[in-house]
Amino acid sequence: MTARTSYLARQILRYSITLFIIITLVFLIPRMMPGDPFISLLGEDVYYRSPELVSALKAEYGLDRPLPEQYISYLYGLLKGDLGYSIHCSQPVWDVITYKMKWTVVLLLPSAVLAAILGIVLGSISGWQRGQRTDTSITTLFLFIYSMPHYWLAMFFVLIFAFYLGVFPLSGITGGGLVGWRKLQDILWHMALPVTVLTLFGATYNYFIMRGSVVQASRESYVLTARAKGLSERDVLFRHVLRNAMLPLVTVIALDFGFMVSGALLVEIVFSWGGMGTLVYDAVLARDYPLLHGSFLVIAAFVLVSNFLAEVIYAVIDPRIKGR
Amino acid sequence: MRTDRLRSALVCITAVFIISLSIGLQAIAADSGTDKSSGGSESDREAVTLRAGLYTQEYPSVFNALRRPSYNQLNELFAVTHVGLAVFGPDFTPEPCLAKSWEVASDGRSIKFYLVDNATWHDGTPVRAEDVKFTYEYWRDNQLYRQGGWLNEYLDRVDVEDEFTGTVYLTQPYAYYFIKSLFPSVYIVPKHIWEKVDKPREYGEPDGMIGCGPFIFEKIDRDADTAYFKANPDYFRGSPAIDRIEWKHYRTVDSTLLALKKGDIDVIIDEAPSGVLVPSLMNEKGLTIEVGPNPGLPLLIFNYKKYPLNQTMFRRALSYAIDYQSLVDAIEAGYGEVPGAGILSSCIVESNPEIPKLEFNLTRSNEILDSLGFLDSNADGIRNLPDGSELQFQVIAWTDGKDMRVAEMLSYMFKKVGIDLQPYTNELSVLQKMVWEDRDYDMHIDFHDPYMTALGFATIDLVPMQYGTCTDPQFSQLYNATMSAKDPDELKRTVYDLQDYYSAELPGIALYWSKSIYPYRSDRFEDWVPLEGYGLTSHQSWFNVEPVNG
Repeated sequence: MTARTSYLARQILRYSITLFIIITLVFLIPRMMPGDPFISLLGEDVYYRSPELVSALKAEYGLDRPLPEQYISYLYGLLKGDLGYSIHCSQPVWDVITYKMKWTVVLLLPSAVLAAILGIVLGSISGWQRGQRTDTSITTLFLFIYSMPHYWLAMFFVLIFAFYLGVFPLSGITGGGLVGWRKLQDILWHMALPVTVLTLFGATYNYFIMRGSVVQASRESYVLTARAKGLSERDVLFRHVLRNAMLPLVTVIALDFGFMVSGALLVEIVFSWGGMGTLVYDAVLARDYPLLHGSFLVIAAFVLVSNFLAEVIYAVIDPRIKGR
Repeated sequence: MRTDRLRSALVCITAVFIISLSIGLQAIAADSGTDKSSGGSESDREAVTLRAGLYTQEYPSVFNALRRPSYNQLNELFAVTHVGLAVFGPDFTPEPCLAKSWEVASDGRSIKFYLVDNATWHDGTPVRAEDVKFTYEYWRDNQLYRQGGWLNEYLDRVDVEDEFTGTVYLTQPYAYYFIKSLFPSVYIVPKHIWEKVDKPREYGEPDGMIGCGPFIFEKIDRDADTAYFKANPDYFRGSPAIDRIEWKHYRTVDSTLLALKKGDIDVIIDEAPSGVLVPSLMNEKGLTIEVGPNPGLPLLIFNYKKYPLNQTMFRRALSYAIDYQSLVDAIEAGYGEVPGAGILSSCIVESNPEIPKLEFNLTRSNEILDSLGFLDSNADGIRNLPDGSELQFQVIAWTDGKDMRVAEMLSYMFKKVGIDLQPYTNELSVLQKMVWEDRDYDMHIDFHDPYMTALGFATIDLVPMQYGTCTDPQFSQLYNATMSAKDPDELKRTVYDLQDYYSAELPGIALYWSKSIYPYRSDRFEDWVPLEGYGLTSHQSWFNVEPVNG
């Protein structure tokens, strides 16, 4: 077994253990919250008036069984690839999640990529020109954006660009009643503002990490060597500094992808975008245990896979890890 | 080398966009088939289409007329496809609808109804008395909403006499109350569809929206979060004045109002925006705000199990400590009025105009508290009970922000007469358990729906689905008399008596009478007929509303 294979095997084992712990926690935590999933299904009138109906429903969904028994049943379902049946949505959990996830990915994948590009490019330039006018201007602007709540900026954009200027729609995924390419155009038009808001926030975060990293790397002796070799400033930045400065950002960007399924809740609400954020929010309010298990599990899986990929990329690009 | 890297990076970025684009395309491909079947034709584009907005947490994931999270705005949405035996008139009087007439038995225990003979379901099947019998028993047996509980408690049976005639038998002499509250609110559903459905709350097939109302459900577009309806040309009361409705869902009131101001929608269903939002709507070109009385109201409810909240004089002292006009001004921006001691808003037919308004009088409040012996014995600014404990209470504010603002204002007002009132809020389920199940609270603020239910549900433990704690036999007797009234005159008389009791005993206090505020695009449609408290999209509106410019 090579050193790299051994490294990856250890990581896989570690992630498997983490996943098992997460599966257990996502089973337990929703059940520790006060409330009952059947209140939202029946309404409070019926819930408090008809205990026999509530008991029958609990038995039907297996929620009357002892917790260990429910847990084993849940694990058994997962092994079969069955995430369960949503009490609140009256549909299989997998169907609900795949529908919502589709729209979250459509919204957040471009945002994460654009935020990474913007953060890397501007962070590098600012870090390399530390203290100069470009750095000061960009840092001031990004600090301003970074200090705002997501939802506030989202509302501001809605007000300015959708309401007053009328160049974008106020909310939603599509206006409805369209098919084919016109629908695609309409979706892209609806995506513009939420993607911009999410990109700006993602970019500010990436920007500050990248900037700090470039500032730190630019003091290293290999930079001096590169300059002494007669390389242009541009070559020093992009061929030497950037490669080393990128390392911490790889983790951040990977985590961005991981958290993107859950991180846009408020932006989704402001733009009435029916993705995973609003799904989790509604599931929490409804105490829909199966839907919460499924949603949290998918989110956790995203984070783990992203982390794992970050580690793999690290192993590929960082010679210090290559050698371990 | 650098060119290769650049190319690789570009390929990666392009791949990401292609993936997200392909997901969008896949969504389009998935529903393009269904889209072709509805809308988009030339004739549809020329049709008169109303674009309505609805703000609520979410559209139900299963769209059928019997699936609502609770009794909320969706009730009004389903009222376009479904009707009851009666509809509410503008003053909440039940007017004939699916039943062209009815007769109440002299003992008040049965109602004979006569159906119209030209009503058909949207699938062409005629509506029969068997459907009515099935519906009432189905709502009862499946415990559907508040009405289901009421039917479970008081419906004995429904007998069918012929295709268009039947009799509803009750276990108590509550026939007139039944007509007034359940005839309009229990939507009749087709037996031939629902008899095969065991779990109405989970049923998601398209025929679950088949009714006999003025509009036919076409589809719900989940991507657009919009439900589509078309006019029912065979509706037994005539064809509606508009051809199509596009009903769009919004998650917040702010986004709904922005859409209205921008002209994306023409009207909002049901829920009236708070008075404090009115200034932002004024002077908007093409927008008109219909302001009317609101029969709904916020109530302060006391727990009779706790001393001294079970003392009439103490409750009276509290009533004098409330600055009602300040509540109207701060919570509703002046769109309201000081309430009467009989609780019911003056716009309700059965409200007694002779009952005086509640009075803000700190001097009187302090005098009563002093006379009860509740003095500030330790000079800390808070009065003490005779046993030395502080006069300290908790008031439950439900999760709505408006409730908490009201609770905070009450806390501030009561402090002026030496009473410490702590606003309390928590998870909705925790509060529901405290109020509904354990009845373990001092006071709570509840916003009541329109209609006269506020008199009964708030404060007594007489009929099901209440959270009150007052068990005074006199009150129960008076309330029972309102339920047993056999005609409008008797109902009015008994409600007057009950309001007298409220005025004298104050088992609950109305905090203000607010206004209904209904903004709509008057440059698109006019001549709405509001059902005060439930919005502009009333049954009457569908036949009265006129598109502007033809």
